[in-house]
Amino acid sequence: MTAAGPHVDNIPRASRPTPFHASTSALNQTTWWYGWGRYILPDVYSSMPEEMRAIRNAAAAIDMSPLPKVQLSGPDSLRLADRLVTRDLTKLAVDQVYYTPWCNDEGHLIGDGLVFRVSDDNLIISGELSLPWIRRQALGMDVEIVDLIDRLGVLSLQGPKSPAVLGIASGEDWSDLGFSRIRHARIAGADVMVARQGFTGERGYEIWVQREDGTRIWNTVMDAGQDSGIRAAGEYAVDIARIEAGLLLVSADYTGATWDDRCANVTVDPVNLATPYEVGLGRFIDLDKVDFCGRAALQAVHQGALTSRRFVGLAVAADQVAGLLQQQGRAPNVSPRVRWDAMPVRRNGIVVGRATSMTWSPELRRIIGFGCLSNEVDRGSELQIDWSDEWSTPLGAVSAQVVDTPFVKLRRSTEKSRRD
Amino acid sequence: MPVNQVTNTGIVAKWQLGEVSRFREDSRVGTAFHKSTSKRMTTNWYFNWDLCMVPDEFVNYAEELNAIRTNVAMADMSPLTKCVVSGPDACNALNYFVARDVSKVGIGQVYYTPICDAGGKVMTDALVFREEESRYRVTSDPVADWFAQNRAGFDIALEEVTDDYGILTLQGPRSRDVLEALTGQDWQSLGFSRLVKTHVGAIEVEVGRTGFTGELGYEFCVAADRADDLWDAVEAGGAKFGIIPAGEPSDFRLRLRPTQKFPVRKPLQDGPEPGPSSLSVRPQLRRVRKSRKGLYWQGRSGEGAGRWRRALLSAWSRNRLASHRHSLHRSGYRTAHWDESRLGRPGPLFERQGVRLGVKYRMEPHAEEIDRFRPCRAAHGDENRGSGFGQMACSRRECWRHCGDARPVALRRAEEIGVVDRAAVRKVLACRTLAAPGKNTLPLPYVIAPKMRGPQYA
Repeated sequence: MTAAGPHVDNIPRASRPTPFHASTSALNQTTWWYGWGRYILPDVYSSMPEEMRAIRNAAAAIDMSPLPKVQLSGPDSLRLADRLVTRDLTKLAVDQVYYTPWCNDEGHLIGDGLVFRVSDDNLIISGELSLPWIRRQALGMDVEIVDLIDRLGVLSLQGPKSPAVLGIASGEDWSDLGFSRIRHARIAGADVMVARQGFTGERGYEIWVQREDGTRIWNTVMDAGQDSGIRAAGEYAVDIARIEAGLLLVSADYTGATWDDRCANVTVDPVNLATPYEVGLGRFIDLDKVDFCGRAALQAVHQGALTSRRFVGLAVAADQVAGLLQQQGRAPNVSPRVRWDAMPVRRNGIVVGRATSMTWSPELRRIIGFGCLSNEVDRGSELQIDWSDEWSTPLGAVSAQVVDTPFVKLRRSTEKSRRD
Repeated sequence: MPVNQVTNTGIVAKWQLGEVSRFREDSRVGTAFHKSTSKRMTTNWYFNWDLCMVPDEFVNYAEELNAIRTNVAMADMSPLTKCVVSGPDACNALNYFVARDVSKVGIGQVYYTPICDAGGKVMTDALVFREEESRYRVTSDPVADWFAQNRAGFDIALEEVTDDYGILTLQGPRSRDVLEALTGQDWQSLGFSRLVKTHVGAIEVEVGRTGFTGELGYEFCVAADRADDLWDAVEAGGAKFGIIPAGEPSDFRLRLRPTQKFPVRKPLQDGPEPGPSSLSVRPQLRRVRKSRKGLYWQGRSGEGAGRWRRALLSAWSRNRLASHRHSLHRSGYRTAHWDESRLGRPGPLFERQGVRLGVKYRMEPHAEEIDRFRPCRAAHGDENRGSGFGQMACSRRECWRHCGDARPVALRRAEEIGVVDRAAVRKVLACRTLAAPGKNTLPLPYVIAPKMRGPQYA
């Protein structure tokens, strides 16, 4: 057994409450909690399928506070941010958000996330970040780097009824806020920053709040959502929602190029490092902009069309897995959790890639996940996954089907929005 | 989902309004061992036990179970609440509170005893340690408040000391080897349910031969500020025996096998006049009862006193029985709830001989609930399917899906009516009785519990 990795700041994992803890702890009716970095938050509040239904059909409040966030301010803040990420941030307007990947010098993904342009020389980056990496890139620049993780809470309000809920909570109309746009508002007497974004594929908002206002705002939003059927959704439901939406997660689907504390259980394997092209993020790479981390390597990949593999959607009929479990005398639970470990995928007996994030989707009523497969594998190929239990004990083969992603219709950026 | 507002009493706690953490006002989430345990976890799953979060699975729970059965494992049991009863009437008061006669407990000895309500129903069980002539430490679900409510006429002092100590348990056939290596003493002669004070290095500890797994085992009770040091010492000292840390479910599931724990069915802090509990769970108390002739104790004259039934109960149902110090009115539905996603995390020991071990509830035909289970019956013609662990035997996807949804019945009912109405929760729970032993149930214990075999057991 190995320890869970370096603890750079000496704060034990899962030892701190998030700004919404007082509210979420009252709402969690299960005993299941989830450690995310140094924070702990509910894994399942009452029932994962019900929480999923709230995300897809009504509204859900999700605590995303443990997501790392860093503020860059000062004259060189834009220059630094532009150097870190693959998209051209000079095009990023004030009060706008970009989704973007970021890479190391070898062109491998470190992670992905959002860049908020709060004002001309004040940007916030949120996502799986590495502070030492940012500090290294900032050498010689006039920029202040502030870790905001302990100061801010992020309440992600997701679901088709989220504009109505937010409207009641804030007393404003949100129908005109486009996708990836920011607006400042007041909820429960506190200033908040709201960005129309999310990780579920549904229309939704991220509400950024000061730590001390967390509980008040959470409670106000929940009260505002009573008539809309709002529920708090835990990490389990959110993990499945992002898979249904076809969104890859660093460390679950590929290995981030720096240490990631969230995923201490994922074996760091250089084979699982990925370029943005391989994970379908090629359109977020702006090779024409100023020099940025990984540019040379990405250019070579781009010119040589060197990507030999890509991510696709995979679907498996659950009864196959159930049958396998039954044969082996295992519990007939086809999907105890989202599988953050990878399982080999074969075609005609030869390994052609790996299956990741395999999970039961309550919406689709089958097992879905991603396949990182060789380019030679075309749609309609007959594939088999070497199914294993959660601790990699092989159980046998199940057949899998390549399907389109996203698995569900994305509604997050429709209606008066731009696809940023 | 509304923040639960308990309307039938008018009491709304601060945590229920989401003003402070449900667990601790200072929002501390870990036990005294958290720094040590969190470092060793390679999963993200934590388990809420009373006011604390403890590791659910360190690395691989099947291995953790296996270590307890075949080798040795260490686990953090600190959230188990501890309450000290002292004063001239300590013995008399405890005799009133619990079912066994604690005047017979020797100093340095431990008694296992049920605690019943006035109706004779089991609320919880406890270990009663006699520290001095008139000083007892009770380790149990949170009982201090309930003791306080029933202390009238007794000259005693009650002290909640849970947070003052960390409890580290060593369980498994080689636990004695580890203990001997750590202390340099011979532990062969320490009988079951006995405890002594000793040192591990420079750390003062109390060692009791007890446990919750049915295996040979010992528990260390250590001052909270030395807890991490003790963890490190035990881990280092146990390394040559292959000791590994075990998460909470390992411990809870193993207890099913020797069948030594019975769950509580009602809140302990239920107000001055607790009504009868709705679930007819009786512990095997005959032995206990015999020893109490002539004494009056809580529950002795309860209406169900003459009827006994062997009870199998879910490891999971125990989780949230009355075990939250703030959970005044939550126990009713928390008890019934478990999450489908965690239902069947597979484990080889747990499934040995192809049999799922666990509880079987039988659902009586009841208007509100029957519909929820109909698809299972339709598909498989088995009345027991769809309830308790009975559903685990069913591998049909649509069936376990359906059953999974049906799990938190009492909770759903509570939500449907908008507030947590205890009468409604009771009504739902009342439709449950335990399955009588039949062709689908196994005799207990599932394994012969070695811990009871006396001091010579090695």
